[in-house]
Amino acid sequence: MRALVIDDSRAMRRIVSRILVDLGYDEVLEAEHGQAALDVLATGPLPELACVDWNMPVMDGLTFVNRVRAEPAWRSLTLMMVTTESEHGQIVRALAAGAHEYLIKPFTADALRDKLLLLGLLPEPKEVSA
Amino acid sequence: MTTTTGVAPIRADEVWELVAEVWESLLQLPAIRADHAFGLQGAMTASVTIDGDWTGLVTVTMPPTTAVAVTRAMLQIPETDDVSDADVADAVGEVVNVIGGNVKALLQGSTSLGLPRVELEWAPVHAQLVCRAGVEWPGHAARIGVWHLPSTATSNDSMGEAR
Repeated sequence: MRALVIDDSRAMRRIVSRILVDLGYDEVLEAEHGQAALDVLATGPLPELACVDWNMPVMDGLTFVNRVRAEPAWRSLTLMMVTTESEHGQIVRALAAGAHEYLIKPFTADALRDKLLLLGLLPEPKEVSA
Repeated sequence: MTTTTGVAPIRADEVWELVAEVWESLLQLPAIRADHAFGLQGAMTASVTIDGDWTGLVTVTMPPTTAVAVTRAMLQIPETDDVSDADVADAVGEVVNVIGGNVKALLQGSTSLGLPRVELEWAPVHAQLVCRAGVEWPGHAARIGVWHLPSTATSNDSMGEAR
């Protein structure tokens, strides 16, 4: 499974990426804002999941979600907002724009795991050969 | 814990609760509520603005050694490895971003959160204190402040130096 983590904080990208790898993701790509993430989507194989921060320079997360949902070729991409924006109205805006899930910072690894489980995007445990 | 009332509907206890959650979830460090006074000389400050129906500033201030400890905790960098200034600025900036976002959620009305800004040296900003929380854990302490920036801000007795 492949994921794309979009956050202007390198620290937060590392944290989310590390959790996803620990959960069994094969590859985790990173982008520092929405425009960079669109470039990643346009040039490589489509990941199954994108974790999207809201407040970012150049292109914010909500704009990114709108741009992704306007492109039919990216319809299978699951979008999960991972953000400090926790007001009910903001959550509704993101979900209405096409985000599938919403995780509020700060979060634990278990909370991210639970969201992936709900989305059906938790990788199967890999078999270890003897 | 110091609290000034009548500025914004934010209680110091609420701020402390989210600070504790950030420390325990994001940094995985034990958080003890404390109002520590430490010299601001050489302190590092990260801030994020809140604009809209209420305008203000959330700050996190800590000594450089504490900022490095926060960075190691957040990024799981072992003691044997170096921590770059860029990593410190990024980690402390994310701490104030997460706290600021949650403070914003406590406010009534429409507001937006700015992007975090990190200053390696203490720089005073004239603002009105809403509340301030101290957090400590073994060997370290940090201070979190919520400040009101009235649109007609002028120097007067109720204004202090934000940080």
